[in-house]
Amino acid sequence: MLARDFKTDVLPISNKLLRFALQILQNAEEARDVLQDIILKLWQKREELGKVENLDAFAMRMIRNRCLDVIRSRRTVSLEVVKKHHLPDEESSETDPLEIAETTGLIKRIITGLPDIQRTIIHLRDIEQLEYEEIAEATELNVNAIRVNLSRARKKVRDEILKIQNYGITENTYTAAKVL
Amino acid sequence: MESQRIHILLQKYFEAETTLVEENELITYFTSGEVDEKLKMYIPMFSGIRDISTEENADLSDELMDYILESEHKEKVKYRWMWQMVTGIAASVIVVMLSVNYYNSRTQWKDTFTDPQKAYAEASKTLDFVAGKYNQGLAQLRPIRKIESAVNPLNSGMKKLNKGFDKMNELNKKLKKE
Repeated sequence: MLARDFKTDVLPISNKLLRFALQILQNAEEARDVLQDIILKLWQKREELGKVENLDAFAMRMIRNRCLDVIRSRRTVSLEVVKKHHLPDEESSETDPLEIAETTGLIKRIITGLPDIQRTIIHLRDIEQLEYEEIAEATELNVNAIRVNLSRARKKVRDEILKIQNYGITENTYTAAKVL
Repeated sequence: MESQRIHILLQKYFEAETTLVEENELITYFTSGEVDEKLKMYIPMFSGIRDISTEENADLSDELMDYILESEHKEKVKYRWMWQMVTGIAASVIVVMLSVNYYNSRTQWKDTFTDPQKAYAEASKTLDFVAGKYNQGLAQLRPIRKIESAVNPLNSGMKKLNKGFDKMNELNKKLKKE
């Protein structure tokens, strides 16, 4: 791969890679460091990238592995930092539920609250729109497990949104659940 | 009609059975502004997903390219410095080796004889001289043997004395028993 190809094939997916790193780490600074690291690695290996079948999935897997390393290494540092980023904002519950429901922040917070595997899979599928085979390559899970986790994750996101939307109106939640 | 189709797609979506095309259809429907009253509760979900997936930093590519070039430059400087070190050390080693070699070549042994027999005779004469001096030195150490012979009678006297002490010990023990 030439430097020119690198600019047209690899750099355009950097936003996708950054979103993924951010989704896993929940820390902008760390996500940026991971991205720079991985992009530099890809640049140094650009000669071999021509052989890679699916560059997106390949790069996503590199990002995921590096993020997991970062999480492992920071476990010994501070729990406070991680907690701060994981817990949803308490203040937001005081504003109008419907108003929050319309913000992307809410979806982000709900996804952030999901278990690790579900979070990664729903991100790769619904936000980055990867095929199941690509997700399998990026996460080293099989397609069946991915479908099961994706289904659970989507249902959880739906239920959380409905819970907030119909705050206090339990009837609607019930009918919505019945409809689906 | 459309809402019925969307309904089916939603069911498939939550079972993770939709294709990417169908999922995009759902996103398009729920962000179109013309959503069935009964399905309005799903608008935030799909519009939220769309908004997250389009969040981009336009300068990111440029920033990353700058980062790559900067790191490469640093790497080059590092290698240049290492190369300078290695060549510097190699050059000084060569200089030292050359000067040692030059010094050695200046103090080379020179032949002083042309006839080998004469050389042999001279060498044996010299070695004889050295051997003679060595023997003279050894001869001066001969009196040390005298010390040894002088000590001998002293040793035999001591042995007798020791025997006497042993006997006295035995007598002591016997006396104690009695």
